[in-house]
Amino acid sequence: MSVAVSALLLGLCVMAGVTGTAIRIAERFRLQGGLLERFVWCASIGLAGMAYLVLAVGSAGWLRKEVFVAVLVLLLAIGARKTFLLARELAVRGIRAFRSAGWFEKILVLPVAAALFFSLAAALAPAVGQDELCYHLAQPQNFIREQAVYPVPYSINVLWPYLSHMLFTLGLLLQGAESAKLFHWIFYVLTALAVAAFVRRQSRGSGAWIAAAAYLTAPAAMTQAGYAYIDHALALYVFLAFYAAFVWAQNPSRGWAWLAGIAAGLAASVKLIGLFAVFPIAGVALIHRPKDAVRARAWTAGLARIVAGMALAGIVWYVRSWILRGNPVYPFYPSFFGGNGFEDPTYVDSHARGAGVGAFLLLPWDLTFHPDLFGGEVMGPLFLACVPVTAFWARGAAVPATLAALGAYALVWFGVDPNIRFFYAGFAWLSVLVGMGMETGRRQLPEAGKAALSVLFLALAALQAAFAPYHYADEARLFLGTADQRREYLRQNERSTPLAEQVNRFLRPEDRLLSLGEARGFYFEPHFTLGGDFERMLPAAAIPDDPGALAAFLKRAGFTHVLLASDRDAAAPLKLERIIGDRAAGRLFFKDELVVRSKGRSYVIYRIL
Amino acid sequence: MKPDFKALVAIGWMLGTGGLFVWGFVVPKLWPGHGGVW
Repeated sequence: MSVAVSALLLGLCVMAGVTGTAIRIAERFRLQGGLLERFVWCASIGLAGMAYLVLAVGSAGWLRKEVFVAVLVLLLAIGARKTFLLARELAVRGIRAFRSAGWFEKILVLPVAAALFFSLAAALAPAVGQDELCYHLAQPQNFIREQAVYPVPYSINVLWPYLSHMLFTLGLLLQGAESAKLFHWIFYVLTALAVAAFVRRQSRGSGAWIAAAAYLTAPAAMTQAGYAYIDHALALYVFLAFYAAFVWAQNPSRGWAWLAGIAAGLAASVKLIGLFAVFPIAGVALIHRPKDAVRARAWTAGLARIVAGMALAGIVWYVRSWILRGNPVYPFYPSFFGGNGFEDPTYVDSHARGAGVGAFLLLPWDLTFHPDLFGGEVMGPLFLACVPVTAFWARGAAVPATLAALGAYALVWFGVDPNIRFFYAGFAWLSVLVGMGMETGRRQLPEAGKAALSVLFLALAALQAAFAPYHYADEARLFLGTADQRREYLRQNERSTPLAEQVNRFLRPEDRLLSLGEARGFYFEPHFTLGGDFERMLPAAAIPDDPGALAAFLKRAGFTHVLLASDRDAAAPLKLERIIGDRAAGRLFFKDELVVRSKGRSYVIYRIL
Repeated sequence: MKPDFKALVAIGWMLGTGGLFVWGFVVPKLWPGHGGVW
């Protein structure tokens, strides 16, 4: 069976098991909702439940394949039938809706299908992304190697909220990197479906599908879905927190208040900045603050449930970090929590255009035309192009709530770290506005205006979807490729592969490698520690200046080898690099054993004598 | 027939944004040395 097919099958089994089990639990709580809404919420909460199960089992040291095969069989026995029935009903209604839809909706399927296909092909291709090879997949690899979720020594990030990484661990354990990446793609699709379900609550027209299409075809969202990153999971849970908070604020019910809190807690379990989910919730709650005392009491009780739900669903990661590193958000805010071994400044200012009011107001323009200011991924023109559509025609209670959530999130995102990858929740709110505006605009305009608006929207969606083949043509060809083709793809696209081949050939699996200047360690069989993490987590005085003392120090820390890459940060070299890179001083204690060249870089692997 | 002000603005804005994006962003990426408006 091809790698892509086996990854897809595993993804399907996990989704069927966790969604169906969550449906059964939701039925016990008598939670009601539309079909799509039920699917989105149950799948999202079910995936999070699975992630927590991996954390619990892994923390107990039972991270074994047979354990999770048994868990999966059990979940399928409980939930597969429920998921099948729901999916069948959704498919029947979807086909019926497609048949009765107009030309606009039918054509809109094409750019959406292109975005979905190419991003899926990328997700099922071998892992080549920087951060996934550096830690999103490398840390789960460490967990599997040790059969436990544990605080990997000398790792800055291993105690961050790792909800997505638990699913990556499951994917790596049962199949490989492809199914781990597939989980991120699933979060991308779920976010679009959550947007559609939210708009569907406000109106019964085509707005839901237009909104989903706007999210799915945003180039940054689409291209990112092909990597084992975590940003779509973050967007999903932040958006769901807003979604539930809005429904609760409209019609106070205990269930929706709990769901808002749980979704916010899950957002905070994906990434530290998931804590920002409180701001959109606060925005929605403030807009809907009741005037009379009786309803105000219920409102306050609802807020208490949201806070309790958030703590319940998210606090474990922060307590863990506090216990093990002395800082719940290690290594950030050392001035507040103490450095705990981390002496470097922990924050790089990423405000390329400045952090003032002017730069904030320029965001719609800059995000569209200057993606390089926000990490390089392209947002696309659709959201900016639809500003008048939204302003003229998006109406209803959801609009001020969506604007409040978007504004609150944008403010903290811009203030703290304006990287576009952390703004996908913003894409979700923008998609809601676009969907609602387009639906009403197309309904109200005369035929000629409606046709012009529709054609332009389709053209912009197609333009955005064209980024998919531009980025992922090779991955699409690889979709059902052979193992040899996949190896060749890796050799062509991943610089660490030739190095990893040599390391895996000449070093023993039990060796420990300290890497200076190469962060992509996923394909290495021996344990791999980043020199930057190692050095920054120690007080400067702890690292000896003398090469002999340094060699002994590294041996005591458990390392057997040091990898030195040619392409290092010359402006700010690590102390370790200066000492080990000095051949005359270091050769007595660090013997160079292996030299590898790959894609213009050279690597020397030293054995510590 | 009275022109629909909202429709004209919405359609003109969409055309303008799309056109700017293609000429200012896509064209320079695909054909370096061409396009770009700022």
